[in-house]
Amino acid sequence: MSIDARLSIIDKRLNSVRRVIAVVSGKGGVGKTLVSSVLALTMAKEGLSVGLLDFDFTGSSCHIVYGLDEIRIVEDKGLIPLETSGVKFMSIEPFTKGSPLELRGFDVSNIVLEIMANTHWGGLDFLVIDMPPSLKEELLDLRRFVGKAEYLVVYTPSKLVINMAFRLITLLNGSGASVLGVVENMVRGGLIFGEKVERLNVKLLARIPFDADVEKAIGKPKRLLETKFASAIFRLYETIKQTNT
Amino acid sequence: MHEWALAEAVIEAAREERAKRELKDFSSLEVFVTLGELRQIDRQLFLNALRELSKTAFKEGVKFRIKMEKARLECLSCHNRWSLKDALKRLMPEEAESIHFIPETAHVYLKCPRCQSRDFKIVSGREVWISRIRASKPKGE
Repeated sequence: MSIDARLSIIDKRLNSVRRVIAVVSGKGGVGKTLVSSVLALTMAKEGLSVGLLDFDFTGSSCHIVYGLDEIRIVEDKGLIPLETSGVKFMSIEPFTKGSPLELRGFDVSNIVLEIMANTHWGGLDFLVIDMPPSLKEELLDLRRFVGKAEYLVVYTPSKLVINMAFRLITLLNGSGASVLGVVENMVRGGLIFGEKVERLNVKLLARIPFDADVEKAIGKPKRLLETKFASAIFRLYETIKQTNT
Repeated sequence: MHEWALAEAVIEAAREERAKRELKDFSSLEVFVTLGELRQIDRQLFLNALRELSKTAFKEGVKFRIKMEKARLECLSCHNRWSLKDALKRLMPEEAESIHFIPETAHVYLKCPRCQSRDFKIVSGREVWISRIRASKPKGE
């Protein structure tokens, strides 16, 4: 007999979290981190109680978006997220301090369990999770352990990215996961994914134009919220709010 | 006190297991817990947390049997196997603390003593797990 005690406590830890939004993509570089981080900032600005969990263990970067040089996670009968810009923030960053982390698949699954089992989020309207790209452990484990997660698929209008977005949505739909919708990011021209989106029966929630000013605002949460990108994320937030599950 | 969060998980898992096995009509439960060395759990703190939490979680008396498991690591580059010995004590306090919270951060702070690789597998001594639950019948039955 061998019982992994962590499996039993995850539901309890998320008991008071109303909605879990996992921001996912099949390919990297589509802007998930900015979408996640600014979505959480927007929700906090709207007066909601929101958490942001950076689930990219080998490439964590939400802390850079928020301009956090040093993160101190408080411990009180578990891990207490850092409060920054009105957002409760958790990441592996304070434990690795910018060093490369060599992880195999089983290590990744263990970290997923560890963070989900030991983080005290308290009551939240939304927990936004910035997922790493790909269809591997983090995604499969979240799907397994957090049944109430809703998936927001981000893609850019590139043939290489769209191919993977299609696979990702097919995987999620096929396993009964709740796909909230898709976000087309860094849009410079016409919609080229529309036909495929319709075929997969998922909603196009937002088209976010490419905004060169976002890069300059990284590390400055207030300035980020003044960008055109943030205006588009606000409209995305309003749409998400209306899709109350 | 990370021990508290881990104790909560153990209590919840024990409760689930008791319900699953429909353990009824017993006077006491014995829960056998194994603690991996890599986790650097304060045994007494952990035991105190288990006892405190079990007061509200169980009507019956519960005894906890704690066993420590030594950590063994295996290098995936040169296949060397090694134990920690006092490697954790040689780390800076915040480095050891990171491993305490998330054992996989050992890949940042520890390396294979033979080839210096950080690409290794934690073979044993990582987990906190329930190895056995035993229910005792009331005396006279």
